[in-house]
Amino acid sequence: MAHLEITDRVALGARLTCLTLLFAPIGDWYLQPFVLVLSAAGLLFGDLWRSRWLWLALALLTGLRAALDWPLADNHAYLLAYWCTALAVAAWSENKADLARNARLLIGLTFAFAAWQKWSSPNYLNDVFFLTTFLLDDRFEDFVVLLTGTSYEQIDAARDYLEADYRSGASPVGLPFETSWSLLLLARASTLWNLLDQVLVAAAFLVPPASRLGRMRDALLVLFCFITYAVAPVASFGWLLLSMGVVQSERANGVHLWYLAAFAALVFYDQVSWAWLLVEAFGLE
Amino acid sequence: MLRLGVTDYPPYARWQKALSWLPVALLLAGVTNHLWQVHKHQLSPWLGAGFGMFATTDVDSARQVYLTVLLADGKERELALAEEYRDTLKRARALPSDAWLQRLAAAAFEALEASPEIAWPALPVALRIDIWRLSYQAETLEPNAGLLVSRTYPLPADDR
Repeated sequence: MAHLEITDRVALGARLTCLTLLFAPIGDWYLQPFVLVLSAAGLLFGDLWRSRWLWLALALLTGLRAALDWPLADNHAYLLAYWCTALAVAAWSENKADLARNARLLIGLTFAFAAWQKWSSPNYLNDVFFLTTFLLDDRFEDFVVLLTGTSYEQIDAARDYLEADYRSGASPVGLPFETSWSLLLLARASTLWNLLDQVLVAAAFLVPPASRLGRMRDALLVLFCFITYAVAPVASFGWLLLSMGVVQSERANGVHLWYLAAFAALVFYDQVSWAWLLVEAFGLE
Repeated sequence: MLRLGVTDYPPYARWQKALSWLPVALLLAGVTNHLWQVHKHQLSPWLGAGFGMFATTDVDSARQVYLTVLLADGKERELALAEEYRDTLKRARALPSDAWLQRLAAAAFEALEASPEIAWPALPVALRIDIWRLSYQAETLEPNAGLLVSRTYPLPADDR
């Protein structure tokens, strides 16, 4: 039964990876059909998810996609290629322990570098990043209107101000409205939460798995995904992290169910504009 | 067919063990390259496998690209590129290395050649590419534009 459970985690992770590639198709027209067909085949045909040739093909295709999109590819495009490579190597060598190790280290290093980038950024810790992002990035508009009382008109005016042409060095007159305490608080909370959570996840995945912090790694990663991707519109990154996470997860009963629950939650986050629905429901538009 | 997840695995060759570190090695190589590109060529920290997304206001879309045609009489005129050249512009904006700026210049020259109907008050002699980066003051969010890179390319003779 223990063998079956371990094998199930590898099967689950491999299949969730295939599902991720179907939910979030990648590549241009000359790559995407191949990725989609291979991913679907990995799900539909028995033990094909174990095939070294399937994962070698996906590793090459995802790597080619990242290379062709250089330098515009999102960071999880590279992580996807690394993970498909890990699956290909594991299929070739038939070593599940190395696959779990790769999953753990890829997640840990990704979060470590993400946290370091925030720590060393000149405009992250002073909240400038989140303040400007909440006003400039239209993907966060509904969320900002819902939680801070800032109106859509104010966001549009802020965007015009923040993105104007300042080459001549003319002194700007200032934001066209006063930023509310709730917007400032949201920016501060987002700044601290994201940095803290990413440091914790990085540490939990990079310390020995049997250590106290190491045993908390699954809970920390699942919590990160539940919270972050409710707001950040990058569900494909979350699905990828969860696919990797489940492969290296603790053997305790039910852990893999939390990964599945988070995976499903991200589907709803991706498909349902919950913030907009609430804005409409409360008449905040 | 060799398979994933089989517990009774054969003796593990040294090369297989080394190969098992390939994914991590790729990640570390990617981050190293990212840091080099940011330092040497002002790559946007959001991009290039360094995991700098959601860490800085220096996102590529926050950079402003201006293409200016320099005329023989000393005047200038800004040029807007058509949609078909936007991909090159985006890549040059994200990674303003000499190579990508030259590609952007070539795209601009091609656009000029494809637009003979444009009436120039004087002979166009060169193209200047300026990429500006916006930054914001803490507390006030007062914007400031800093010139990230500026390059001038003489127009090919047949485009004049």
